[in-house]
Amino acid sequence: VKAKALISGAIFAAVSLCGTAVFAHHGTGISYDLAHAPVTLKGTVAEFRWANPHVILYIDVKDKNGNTVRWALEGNSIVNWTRRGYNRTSVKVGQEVTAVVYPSKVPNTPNGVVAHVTLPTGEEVLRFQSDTPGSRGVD
Amino acid sequence: MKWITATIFILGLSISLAAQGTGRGRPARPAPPPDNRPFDAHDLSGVWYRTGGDRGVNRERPGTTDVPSFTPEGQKMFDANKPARGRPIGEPIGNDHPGRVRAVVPALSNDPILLCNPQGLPRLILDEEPVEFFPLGNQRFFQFFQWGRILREIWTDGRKLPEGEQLAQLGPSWFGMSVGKWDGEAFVVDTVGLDDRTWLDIYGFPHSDEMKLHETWRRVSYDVIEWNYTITDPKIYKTPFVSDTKSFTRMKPEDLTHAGWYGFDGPWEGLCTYADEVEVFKKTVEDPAGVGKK
Repeated sequence: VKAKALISGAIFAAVSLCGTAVFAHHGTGISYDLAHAPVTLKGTVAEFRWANPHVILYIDVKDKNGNTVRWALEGNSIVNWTRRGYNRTSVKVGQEVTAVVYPSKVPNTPNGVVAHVTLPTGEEVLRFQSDTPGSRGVD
Repeated sequence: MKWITATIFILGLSISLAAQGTGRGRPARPAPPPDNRPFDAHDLSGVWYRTGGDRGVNRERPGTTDVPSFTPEGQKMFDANKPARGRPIGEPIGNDHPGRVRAVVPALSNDPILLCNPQGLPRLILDEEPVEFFPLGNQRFFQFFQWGRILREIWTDGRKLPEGEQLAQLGPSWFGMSVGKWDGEAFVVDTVGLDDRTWLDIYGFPHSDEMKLHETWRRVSYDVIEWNYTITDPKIYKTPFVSDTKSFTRMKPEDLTHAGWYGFDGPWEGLCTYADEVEVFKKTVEDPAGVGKK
């Protein structure tokens, strides 16, 4: 069991290194700031849209004035995320989540591309981009 | 044991994918070790995926003959195309062809595929997703592309391509009309009637509806097919646009069933649809992320 857990971890680490090498509809780096540290959003899942070629995660986040802002976050394709073991129920409407995202280069725009998403338990339920800024190219 | 085999496979493929780099002249997926089993050069059937050759028509290097000179009309079409792939416009061109340093945010791009229009040829074949080949007797040869779930038919019954008035009456279409025949150990395919709204590749190189595509497919080993092609389009390019050699590697049967790893599984449907991509993704994510909310 221990060996199985270790190998599972290795698989996940290896898969996490992958970009969107296949099934990429267009580049993401050009719209999002992948050169700087990602931002952390705590919010509630409003919708998890499981579609090709881009999955979309919508979360409601309280801004500093207490207003609810709906962020629309770009995910990977169904194909790539399924290959990583995710599915349409990996995230559920109403769940509290922490989303680490690279925001749009347009200031004050509630859009970003997912680096990873975790539940309050710390369980990571989605992974797209690396946490390390600048580790992906523009294409 | 099967679990361990699958694990090793995933690890190997993951590392291969991770090694692909950032997309600046990124090659296709690395090829596995050669398979030296005997093979029939006239049998192209199977599922194949790109493992060699550039993602563009060729490497499109500056200072070489990789990209032929444009005609005035070709230059006009090239300038009008605004790709979302490559390095961002405004960056130093360096050792890249200008065509690879002009990417804009997808919200400002006019790449036809962003509205889910067909990729056309040869762009569809340049896509990195797998393609299955299956001949239908001596009548037709089919290529079934995972991306878009597109079935390309190549007539092998000896018919001729339309030309002249007949071609003019038929008009262009997204994938044109293709005929194929064996020439020695090369499967030779010729295509005409391609709609000029498609791009040759992700970098926005244009073509006219008078373009002719001449392809050769050669099985060079048990698990490798090589693909070369030439685009002849005097309205756009002063000389033929010649590809580098693209290679395709045969997928192993077990790869097709392991959680649908690269298979043609129905529920994944590699489709770009107006209802999802344009009505939802473009409006709520792509456009505001690129240019802000209007």
